[in-house]
Amino acid sequence: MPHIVTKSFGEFDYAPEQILEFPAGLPAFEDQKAFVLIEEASHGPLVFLQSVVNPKLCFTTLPVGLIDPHYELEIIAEDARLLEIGVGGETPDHEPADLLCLAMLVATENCPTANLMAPVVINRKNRRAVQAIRVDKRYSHQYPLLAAESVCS
Amino acid sequence: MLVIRRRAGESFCIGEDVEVEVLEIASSQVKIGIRAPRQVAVLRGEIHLTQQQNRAASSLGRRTALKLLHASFQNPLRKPTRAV
Repeated sequence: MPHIVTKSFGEFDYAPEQILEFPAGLPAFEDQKAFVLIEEASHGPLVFLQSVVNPKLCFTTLPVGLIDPHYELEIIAEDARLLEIGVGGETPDHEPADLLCLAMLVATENCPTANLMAPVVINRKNRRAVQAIRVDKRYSHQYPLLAAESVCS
Repeated sequence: MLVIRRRAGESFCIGEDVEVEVLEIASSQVKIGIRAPRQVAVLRGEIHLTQQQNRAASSLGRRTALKLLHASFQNPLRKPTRAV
């Protein structure tokens, strides 16, 4: 079984069919096209997006639905093509359940924020994935996870 | 922010090397042409923002992430959580 020596999780074994293919890479990491998801009970709902090629590259994410249960996903035609799904029209050929939607976390001035402007969208059926950057201004790229009155230390 | 009014076919320059021309104006979209040297990166604003966020996200370690998450659970999240 192939494995990768990760930054945070030591040696991580994965099956080839676990690999997510990002045909376009990720903005700023365009050459990184293969990732695996790491979930561990001790890390609660966190989902780690670990590069298969670069052990040091690992993003921390949360399922978008945990951050905003009413989040409405918007995928532009180019991204839909990369995911091999049809969007819009009268008969979209995918169910929302086929898509896993993760928001990357950042520490913005010590406060956790999530990028809801550009969620990572994974098609569970074919394991293709993109970072689906929205063109509208509906969701923030630095959505605070804490209530406004909470103070970050 | 500098604001300039231009019609289709008119342009403006940024520095010595960059020219931005308004090519076409439709009801909800503007078509813009950019002449710039090869070494000048021209990116849509939302992609540039995503690049910056991704670089910041890649430096968030697991321990910090856990600490932040812990804080999130101690304090109320902005919206009620629900299983996916």
